[in-house]
Amino acid sequence: MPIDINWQLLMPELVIGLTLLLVLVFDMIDSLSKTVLGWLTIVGAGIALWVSVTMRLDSTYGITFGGMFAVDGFSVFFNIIFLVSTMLVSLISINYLRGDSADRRRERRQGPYYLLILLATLGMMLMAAGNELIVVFLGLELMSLSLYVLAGYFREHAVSSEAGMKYLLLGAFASAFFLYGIALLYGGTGTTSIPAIATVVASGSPSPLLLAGMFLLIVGFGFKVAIVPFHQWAPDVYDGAPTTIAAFISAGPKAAGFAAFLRIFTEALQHLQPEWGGVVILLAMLTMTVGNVLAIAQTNIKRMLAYSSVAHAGYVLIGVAAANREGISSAMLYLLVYCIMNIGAFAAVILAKTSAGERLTLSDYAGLGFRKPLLALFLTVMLLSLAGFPPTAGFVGKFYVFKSAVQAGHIWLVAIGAVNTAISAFYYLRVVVTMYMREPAGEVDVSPYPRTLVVGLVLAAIGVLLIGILPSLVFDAAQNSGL
Amino acid sequence: MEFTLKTLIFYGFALLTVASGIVVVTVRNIVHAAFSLMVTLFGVAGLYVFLQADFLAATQVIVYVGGILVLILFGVMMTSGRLEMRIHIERGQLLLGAVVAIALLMLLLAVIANTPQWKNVADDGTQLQPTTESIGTLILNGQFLLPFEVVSVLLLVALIGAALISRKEVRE
Repeated sequence: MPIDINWQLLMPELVIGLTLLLVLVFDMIDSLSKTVLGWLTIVGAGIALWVSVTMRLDSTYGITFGGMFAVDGFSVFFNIIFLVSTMLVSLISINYLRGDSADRRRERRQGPYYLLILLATLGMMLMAAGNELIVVFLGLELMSLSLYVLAGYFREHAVSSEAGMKYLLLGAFASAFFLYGIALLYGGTGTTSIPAIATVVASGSPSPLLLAGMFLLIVGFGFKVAIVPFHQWAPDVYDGAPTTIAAFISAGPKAAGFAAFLRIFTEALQHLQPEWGGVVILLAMLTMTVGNVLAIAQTNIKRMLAYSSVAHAGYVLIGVAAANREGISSAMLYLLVYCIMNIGAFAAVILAKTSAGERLTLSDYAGLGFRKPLLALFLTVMLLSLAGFPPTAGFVGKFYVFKSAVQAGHIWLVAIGAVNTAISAFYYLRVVVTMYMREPAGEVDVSPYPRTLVVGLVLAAIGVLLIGILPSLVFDAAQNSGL
Repeated sequence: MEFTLKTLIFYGFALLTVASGIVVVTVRNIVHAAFSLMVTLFGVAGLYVFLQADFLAATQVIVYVGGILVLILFGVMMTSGRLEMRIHIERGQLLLGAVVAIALLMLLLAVIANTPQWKNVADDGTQLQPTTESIGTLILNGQFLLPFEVVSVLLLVALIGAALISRKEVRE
């Protein structure tokens, strides 16, 4: 019996699919400038974003593909996060990839770069909308495989290849855990469909198989979204990968991991919340504290941002641990805010580069506030937002996450979160202080700004301030989109 | 549980899988390891037969034993002339690995011991039903169409990724 497919619900995915095919074909035309492919990616993601927003406004929801694919407020909201991230990253990539020198070899390889970004985006969208563990797993693999290649994209640099290799090995390890977890869940319930699992779990006492499967799923997710103690890959990969890709890995994929985590744990395993709630609280505390403390010790700015992104996963976990409607929507809001500000911070790091290469150590930023005042200002906005100062989006995100945890009665968790926010303010502000208060060691060369990078950074800054000043703009959307 | 010829064969396959698996990770000569892996994969195919998964068993033999293994041997042949691999593992890492492995083993043993009823698929008297047709229908015309399509995209990523990483640069 053929199944009904509601193509209308698949529009954003179809647009991305069509765009990636166009990129694939246009890449073969040798006379075409590869920059066109970047713009094509942005336009494609933009159309998909527009379609998603329309679906959100019209509430075009439903379940299709034989119950495998669920389009609801939740998945559409996450689609918006992914597509915004993809657009911003493509925007900052266009100039970054071309580089200063007219390196023809690097120019040639731009096609696969945008193709893989689009494929990773498609994987993320499947993860958020997957109503079936098999679809979630395939989405995860689609995303991860693309990211392994992207992390090792600068294959002429040993660090980039190393980053790709490390990410591949640890990622494959994590996927194995995840798949084993799915297998045990199937063994315990006899189905891989998320709503069906929820029915089975609600009907009786959990079997040991189910609990073991749940535990393995947490480990698998923990690796993918870099939760302590499964975070060791993050600094090495962020450091070695191209900076634009570090921005990409830290944003969309982390949101996608949490999307699948939220759907599986708060829908399929909702009745096991007493069992997994405690583990999530423990992981949240560990992740925030270890991430922030280790970030203090970093002198390399990319590694610092890597540990900071580990810590931010901890803040999201606070919302997950609350596991009520408020908690889920605050985690979603936090992820949106986090994606925008983190990509913005990485964009500023790329923009701060000199003719000798990127500014990576903290001391490179000395005196930047006087030599490049506008750039320093934008970087400051991003760092303040990451630290959670008002009136930026970071503050709004943290506020709602903490609020939901208080409502759920996790006062201690909020206290630890607050202490961690203070710790994180130290290392974010240290960069700001270095930029404005310290004299540069040598002459700072002022190179012209690449245009698309500036546009990307300005858009991110506008987003951060807009959400910071008018939080209801997105919070209402997030609140109506919870599971 | 009575001891039948079937149980004997099952334990034979299980032993074969585990023993050859241990050989794969301990032996130094990489070609020996590859051949030992063949035995492991074959043993797994045998276990699939016991689970009445005939299609899976056949696929396992065709794809893994027949395809992947030949690829591994080709890979060994083309990349290095050296067959002996000396992989140095620090004692601390070995210890950590052992702790994780034992913890996982304990978890799985606890699951096996505490699960109240295990249904033995092979012994419940039902006739073996071929699965190939129903799998084909489910994938191509039914509920599992979406995963099937996504897998094809996944293979595209693997192709593009492999080409991007391994192809020679064109000289200008």
